[in-house]
Amino acid sequence: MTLKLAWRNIRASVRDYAIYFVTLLFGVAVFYAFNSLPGQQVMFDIQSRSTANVFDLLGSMMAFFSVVVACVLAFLILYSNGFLIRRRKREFGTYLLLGMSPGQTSRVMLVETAIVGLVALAAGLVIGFLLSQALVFVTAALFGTTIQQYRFVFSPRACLATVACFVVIFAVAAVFNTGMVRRQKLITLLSANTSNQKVAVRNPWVCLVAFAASVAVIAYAYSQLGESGMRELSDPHFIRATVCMLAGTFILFWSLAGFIIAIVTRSKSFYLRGLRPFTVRQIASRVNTAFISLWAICVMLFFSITTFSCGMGLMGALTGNAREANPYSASLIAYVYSNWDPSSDDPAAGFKEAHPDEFAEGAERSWEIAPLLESNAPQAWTQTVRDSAQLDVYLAPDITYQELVDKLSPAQAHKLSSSASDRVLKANVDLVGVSQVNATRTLLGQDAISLDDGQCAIMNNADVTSDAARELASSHASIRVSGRELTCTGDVVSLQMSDNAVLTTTLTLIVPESVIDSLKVQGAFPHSCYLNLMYADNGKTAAENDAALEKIVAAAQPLSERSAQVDGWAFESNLWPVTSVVTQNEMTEQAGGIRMLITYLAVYIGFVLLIATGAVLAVQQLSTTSDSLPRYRMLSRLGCSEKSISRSLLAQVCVYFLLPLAVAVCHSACAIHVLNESLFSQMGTPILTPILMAAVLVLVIYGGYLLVTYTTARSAVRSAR
Amino acid sequence: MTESIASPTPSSMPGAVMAQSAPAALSVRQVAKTFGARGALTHALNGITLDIDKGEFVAIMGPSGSGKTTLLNCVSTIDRPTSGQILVDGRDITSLPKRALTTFRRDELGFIFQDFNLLNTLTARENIALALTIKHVPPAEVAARTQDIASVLGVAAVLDKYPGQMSGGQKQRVAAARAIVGNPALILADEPTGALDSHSASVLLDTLSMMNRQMRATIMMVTHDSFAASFASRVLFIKDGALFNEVRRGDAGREEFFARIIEVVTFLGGGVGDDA
Repeated sequence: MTLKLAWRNIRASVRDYAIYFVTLLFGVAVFYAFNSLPGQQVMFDIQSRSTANVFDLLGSMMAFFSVVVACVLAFLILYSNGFLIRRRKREFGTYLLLGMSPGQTSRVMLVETAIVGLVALAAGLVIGFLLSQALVFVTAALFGTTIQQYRFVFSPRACLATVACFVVIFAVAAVFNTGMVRRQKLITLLSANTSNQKVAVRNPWVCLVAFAASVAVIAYAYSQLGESGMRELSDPHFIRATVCMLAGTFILFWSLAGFIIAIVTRSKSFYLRGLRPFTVRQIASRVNTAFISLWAICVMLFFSITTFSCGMGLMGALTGNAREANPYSASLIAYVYSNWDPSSDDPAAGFKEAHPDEFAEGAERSWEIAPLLESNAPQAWTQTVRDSAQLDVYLAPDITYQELVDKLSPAQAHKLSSSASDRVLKANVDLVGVSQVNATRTLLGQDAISLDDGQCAIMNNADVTSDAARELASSHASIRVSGRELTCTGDVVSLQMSDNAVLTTTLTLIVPESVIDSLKVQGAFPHSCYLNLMYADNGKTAAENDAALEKIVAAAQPLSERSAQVDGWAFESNLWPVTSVVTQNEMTEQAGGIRMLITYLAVYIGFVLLIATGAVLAVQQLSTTSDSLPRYRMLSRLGCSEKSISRSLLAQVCVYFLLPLAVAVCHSACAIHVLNESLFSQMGTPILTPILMAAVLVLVIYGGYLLVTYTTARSAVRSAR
Repeated sequence: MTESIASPTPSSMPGAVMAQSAPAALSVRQVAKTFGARGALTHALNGITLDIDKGEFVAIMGPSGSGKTTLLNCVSTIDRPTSGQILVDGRDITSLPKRALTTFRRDELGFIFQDFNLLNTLTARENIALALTIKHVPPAEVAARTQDIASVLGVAAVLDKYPGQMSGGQKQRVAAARAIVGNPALILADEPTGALDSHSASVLLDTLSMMNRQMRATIMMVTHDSFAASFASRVLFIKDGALFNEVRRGDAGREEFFARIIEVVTFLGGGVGDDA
């Protein structure tokens, strides 16, 4: 009996359920698709030692954000359910009047929700399954590989997670619904449709003042955000900006309707035309009562847009330079100063103490890595390595970075000091000999640089210090190194010292060989050695060469116990000859991994927040429309044409959708601008592409909801006449 | 009984008489309306014929189920008769296409409903103005005409209030203002006093007859309240979907006219006002 009633009810109110159903469908599909990612075959195909970390991270990030997404969807379902109940108060009142118990009545509602939910869940899983197959190709594209062996993979884990999550949400929704039906008094249920909605009227002058105040508060929030640069979340500027932005937006929506009404109604020639009085009042009364939800929607939209575009921008920043940052086939790095205790006079004390034999060997070989490796595996070395060059980095004994920064113009010095940590500023300046630099440049096929005896050159390729490097060079700054006064050449030398995820060379000095020699005489030794090499053209893949290189290194030193788990730092316990190995192939794969991670997270969160806001707005707008059906009937009787009523509806839907969007876009523009100044422009990442992508996403999803809402509302008004 | 009871339908006057003078504001010719499927037909209107001249204030009375509301719906173009013709200002509205009907209602009809049907999100001023703005009257003229009609009908003081802040009588007079502000050919009032207390009802009815006398408004009022009907210049009685009787006020005072109406109501079996 209950089932029959519930089924008929669903069929009767298909339109009310449509938006709810579609949104649920999207939610389930996206939830499954993204949660199934870690189980996809392509992941195993691509997954290598170098990307294992990223894949683990992807799994745990997806799990974390799925909780957030589940909360958003739960809110959505509760909200829509509340709306459906409010719409049908009269019907429930009739059930109660006919003698059905409140329990039976809420059971009807429960069964209805369950039927719609189950259908959405099942259909959503099917769509999610198809979507996850499409994501396989996207994943492959992000890694720049093709799929060798395609097959459908169904992830029972993700399916189970989806079902469990939605069962919990429905259970919560059921409890809420039952409570809502039970709590109602019969009289309010029955008179639900006839009771006059109280029209909230606000004093226009108060609104005007509040509106001006809100604009001021938001402007202050923007300036605070600019101050903070969005570098740290705990920055008091950032906290102030966040609070002010939330409060300012809230007051803005609170005051907006009253303020606009005051202005618009004053202009008779604009106001008294066609259905304008009706349309304006209709919008104003909604904004007056629904300003809290408009505010929440605006905040969600802001998050959605900012997360998406900044995530994409960040991805570009992190992976955009992957090619430039990895010019060598592989880099072998020895960190001689590892475990350096700054309080000790001898930076290598830790090394000497822990591994006296290795230290002695290094010193004996003048810290040259290549000959040592070659002597242990001569055949493999010649087969694998075409050429190599080493860079030894020494510390200048008598100049720190703080002193270098002091040579800059005050503005530039301030900029650097505020972004660099104290530890970096107190550290001594890095030095490299010019002959090693030239050997490395030759390895890369670049021209050698020449340096006179009294000269030095600034080496830099990191964006963050590029202005400072240029200033030092162009001003021909005079720098005292090891008791000798050196003048900077006018050019900045751009050289990546080893393969890395980003461009890392920051304000390193290239000095004449004689300076290094005199340091060596004083007993100095390099704090880091970078052996960069190019693989021979031996017909093997990069991965095979990586493996060969690993064997060569292993021949010179035993593998550490951690080598099986941690990549890169395979030889951590051995500081000499090789502490870590970074290969081009590995870094490119890692960049692909990060690209995938951020792309998926940005799309996932951006998409879910967008459909949630779209659905909430649609549900609200449709409920307004159905509450206003008598008004439309009235207008039609008075002789309003269908066209002018449709136009009024469109105006209402548009304002309601576009108002929070406009405010959110303003906020996002500010946040993205600040991030662009402090991060993206320094990293040299163009932010326009991610912004365009975010715009397309909003246009398609949000615009889609707008369109569906309008057509649904229009057909509701038409059929009511 | 009065003399007029002997003339069952005014339509016994031939059409030729009509052609000589200006066309009637409303002319209902042999209108029938049936509801339901073939097996179970309900005849709500049974070939009813009546005329309302320009500047007349006509009340239509009848017991429940007599067809009053169906007649009103047909005249107000919300419903279409099954057969017959309805002419407003000499124009047959039963054959108009749907789009033209909307324009027709906008330009030729004014409505007053039992439950006011004011838009509660709009102020009184905007409710009245709406009748003009949807006709695309220039904004300056809209403002002036709204103010004028409100002064005449005594609602100028509440112009900037919302319906929720007004009394029932004020709401109904605002509705009357909205109905007449566009100078319609015919004002249709559907139980306008139904939701009002007796004092407000008297004020409204005075307002309606003032609109009729001073502003030359043609009013067709459906009611089952004999007191309300006594404010009209002529009362038509409907029974079983056809015209049953007609009482003209002539030079009689309102009380005398009221007494004559009561007579007919009693004759009809008291069924006219019993569900008021």
